[in-house]
Amino acid sequence: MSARRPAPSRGASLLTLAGAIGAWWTVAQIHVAGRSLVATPAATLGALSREAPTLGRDLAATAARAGMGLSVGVAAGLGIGALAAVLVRRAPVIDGLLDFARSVPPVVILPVCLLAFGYNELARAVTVAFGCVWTVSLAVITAASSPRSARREMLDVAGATPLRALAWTQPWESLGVLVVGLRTSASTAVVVAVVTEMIAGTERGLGGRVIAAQIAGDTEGLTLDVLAAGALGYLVNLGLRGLEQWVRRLET
Amino acid sequence: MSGRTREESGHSGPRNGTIVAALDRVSVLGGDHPMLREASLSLRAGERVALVGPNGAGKSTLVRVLLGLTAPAAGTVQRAVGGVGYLPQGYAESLFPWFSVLRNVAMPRLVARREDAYDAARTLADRILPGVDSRRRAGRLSGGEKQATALARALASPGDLVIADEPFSAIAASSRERLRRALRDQLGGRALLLVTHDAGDVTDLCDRTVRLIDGRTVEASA
Repeated sequence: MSARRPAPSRGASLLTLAGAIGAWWTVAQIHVAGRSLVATPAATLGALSREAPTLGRDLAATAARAGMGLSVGVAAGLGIGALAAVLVRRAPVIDGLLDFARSVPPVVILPVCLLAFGYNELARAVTVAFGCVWTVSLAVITAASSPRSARREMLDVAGATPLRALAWTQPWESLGVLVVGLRTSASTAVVVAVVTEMIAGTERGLGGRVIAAQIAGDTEGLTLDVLAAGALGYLVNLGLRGLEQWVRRLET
Repeated sequence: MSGRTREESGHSGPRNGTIVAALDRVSVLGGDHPMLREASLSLRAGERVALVGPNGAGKSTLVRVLLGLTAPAAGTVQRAVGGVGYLPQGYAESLFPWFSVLRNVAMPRLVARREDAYDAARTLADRILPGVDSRRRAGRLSGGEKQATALARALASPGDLVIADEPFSAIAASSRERLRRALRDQLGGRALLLVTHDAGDVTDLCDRTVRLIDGRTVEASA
């Protein structure tokens, strides 16, 4: 017999949330070299009310950068993945090469992009895209190399042309793997977008804010920026998790 | 045997007696163990043949060879032309869960680019899946409804042969007789190869039984 999962309780959730805020407050009391490393919840809320307009602008700028890089990365990844899926049967080394490319930390490509494109948005977008493209390519290869499905066999038996059988099955059957690849890439895109802003500097963006707050010793602003970056990643993940669940429901 | 004519079922294929598919001394190796040993079988137009045998005897392998999904190590295969209506043992995985029941049933005729694909599918769905909304997504159906959908889809095929691998295994006993009748009526002049463990299926639906024992075919009754 399988044990039933207990029904979620609102009280327990509120208690956990209160505990987390309490832990945050406790950490904020720790002082290193005479100053706290993290602002208290109340002080962070105060900072939010003061900095909301500029924070919103910077958050939007980072989200736009991540979105742009992700779009380019996904488009390129689909193309590269499709080509690699065709060639990988003849040259299995392609799979290893893509895996190697994925293992290169995207931010180390930033200096190369800065040299190639200069200190501009293009360099940042290409760096973010670099972080996404290989994951998507590998997801496409995985989807394409999945074993011949019973649906595909049914279509073959019914007399469908290989192209038609592929068109009726592959896009749908690949959705699950591709959405997982997209979710991983989106998380990478947010991280890389923030880090490129921190390294290369920017007029607008969360990464620039974090560095500015650190230089100014603005603990409240720094805490707020860290939380905002976390919230951005969380929201992106939440949206794509919804998409993934929708695809899973479609498959069953 | 059904009293329905070929015209009534909307199927016009080869005349009775013409061989629509056959295997001649076919062997299939599964690792070092032969799964089929010089198995022979011929299916004539309008003929309804039961393929029986214990689990692991090679029934599904024989079906896959006949469908061209598994290549034999030896022997010759005459495959049916114009597509085969096929209900596999893994019926649930063979459905398109993201499409409607109607589109699933219409699939073989859509593949054959038949204009009557949806009309024929609607007629079959009404008969085989009464009470099921044919606009419903196939993924949302119960196990029995999925198997009935796969049966309707196999029967929607415009080809000369229908192969059904344990077509009623997930169907409730109360609905089985109705589906057997539907299968009998909708076959028309097509040949049927029915893989089954159920003696009721054999007596109700088939003229001839072929037994498969340890990969070898044995004609059991005529």
